[in-house]
Amino acid sequence: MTKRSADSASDQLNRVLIALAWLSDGQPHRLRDLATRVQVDERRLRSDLLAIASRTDDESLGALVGSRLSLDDRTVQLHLSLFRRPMALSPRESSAIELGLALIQHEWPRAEAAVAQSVRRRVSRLTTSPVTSSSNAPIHAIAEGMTEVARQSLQALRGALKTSRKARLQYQSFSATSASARTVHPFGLVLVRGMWYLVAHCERVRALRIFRLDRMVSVRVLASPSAKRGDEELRATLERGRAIVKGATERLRVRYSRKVAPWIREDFDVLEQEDGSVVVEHPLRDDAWALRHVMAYGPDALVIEPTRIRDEVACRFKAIARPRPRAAKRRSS
Amino acid sequence: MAFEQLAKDVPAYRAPGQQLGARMRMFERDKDELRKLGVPIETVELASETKHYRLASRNFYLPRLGFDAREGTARPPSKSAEGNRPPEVTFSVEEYEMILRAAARAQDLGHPSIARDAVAAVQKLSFDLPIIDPESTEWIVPTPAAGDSVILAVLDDALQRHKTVRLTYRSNEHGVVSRRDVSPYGLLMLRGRWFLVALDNRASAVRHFRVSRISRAVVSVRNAQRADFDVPSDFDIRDLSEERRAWELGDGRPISSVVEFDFSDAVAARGAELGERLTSGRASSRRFAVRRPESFVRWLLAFAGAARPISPHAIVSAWRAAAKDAYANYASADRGES
Repeated sequence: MTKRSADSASDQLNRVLIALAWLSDGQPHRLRDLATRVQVDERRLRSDLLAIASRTDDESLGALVGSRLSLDDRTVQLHLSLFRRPMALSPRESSAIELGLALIQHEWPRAEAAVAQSVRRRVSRLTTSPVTSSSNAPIHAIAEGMTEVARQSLQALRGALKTSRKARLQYQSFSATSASARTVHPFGLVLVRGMWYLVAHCERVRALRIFRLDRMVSVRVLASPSAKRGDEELRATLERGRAIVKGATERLRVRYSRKVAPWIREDFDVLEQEDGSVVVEHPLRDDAWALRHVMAYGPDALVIEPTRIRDEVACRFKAIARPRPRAAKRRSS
Repeated sequence: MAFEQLAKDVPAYRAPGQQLGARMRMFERDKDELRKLGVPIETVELASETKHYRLASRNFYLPRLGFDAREGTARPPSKSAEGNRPPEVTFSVEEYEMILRAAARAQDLGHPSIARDAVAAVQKLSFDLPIIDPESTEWIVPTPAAGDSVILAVLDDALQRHKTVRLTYRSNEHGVVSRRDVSPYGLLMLRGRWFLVALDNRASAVRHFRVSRISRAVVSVRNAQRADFDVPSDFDIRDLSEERRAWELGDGRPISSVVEFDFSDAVAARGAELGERLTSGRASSRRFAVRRPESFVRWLLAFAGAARPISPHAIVSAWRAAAKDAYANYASADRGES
């Protein structure tokens, strides 16, 4: 779970205070074990401890720690009566947890979201009281985006995954006019840009498929056990932050104008063109998806191939641009 | 404790030849920095005119944590220096797992400082409670942070200090790059993307700026120690947490647009759910409040003719004009023109 990027003074202060709390029992600790506790690598921990012990000004914390610290290659020991516990969560740390809890709460069925609410209240008890009004105001928030049906589907699928059981989905694919039943062996859930997908073996097509959570009408967990997943297959479903089932042989080639090229570069691998436009080759599995994807860009996207999609898009645009007069329609009928 | 008492214990505050004003400024900066890190230093007004400061240990330390008694000994807490003293705050294992999952989710928001804060929070909690590995049946594809992390750090700094920021921004509506002077109010994650919610100072209106479209952000350096603006007291970034579509963003006056949907088309039928039913008129029509017409027109075009705007004239014309231009592109390409 631990990830670490750029280090800051607050990161270092936090680490030192946590390390001091663990060391405050006065017992010798193996550096490696302490590093695991503090969730930092051994070298950085050693460097933190040396940094604070090297501050030997009179009466400073460095002097206090330095005179009582014993640090060799493998072990560290400190006799200190201060900082026997870590500092309470800072408002920012609490806010980070709060954001994560808000995300989880958005995903739970409303009836069960009360648990998340209760956890949020208790986390606030672990937080230092903000001293100024400006530090009190939250500066980050997450937009809610799941329907109640999607929340219930997600809960059911988590249950199926936990107990390794098959699930029965009523699923309405992108262009279908009604839902159809699918029996699946759930392999995992993938969250991509705020959208959950189920990666599963579909018994109907006898192949790996990805199901969007917001297209599930209902989910029922079955009693029968599900097949084991293949990690290789799962990894193959994630391509540059997108959930994609590999194997689409046909390609949709689209040229996007210079105007929308910056947004396209954010999401796709592009072939740059001399005039500033970009070309993208999308795996083509669904003509209806292709039609709608391209048309959303209006005059800023042009299908290069395949010809059938290109002709259909041109035909649809023509129909919108030159509607038949209503009177003429009546006469013809 | 008064500053004079503190200064005796801090070598930097008693450097020879240093004026009282300079020492006080240094102290104020240090105090602000510590408060920013979460150290709850209180200012106490006593009867005397001298300001005093207090750091109460009950506010400083993490309360002792434990599992609910009913959880038994299935997952004993980590052994810490606190020995067997009773916990002050307890969680069930399920609740604690939820906190760990929340921390993991916060780390995957594509925001470096939120990720660091989530890690730091778990470091602290694990002093009393064990780290439990989450289930491995869920994968979160991290929100791409490339190119955004520096901008996000600048915006966070401005948000915390209430400083104005000059943005270099490529707008969605017109694709043009412009400079905007803004007063940032908050950062909102919407469908996997970060948006800065800020007062556009020239337009005197609150706008959403997609962070990935900000190529440069410079915090005002004027009066560095003072806030440049106050966030309105009735503004709370969490109030914006109801998901909205691109055409609903911003605070411009909304245009009411009526759209007719072909309900035999599954995708159009789903799109219709976002609109409001009309009290009179066709059952297949829906009303939308549109703040960004260009975004709305693009959304309508994506239905490939299965959603037709009926009113107002401006939206209908823009929809037809976009289709006309697009068709002209195909006709021109067929004729071999570039």
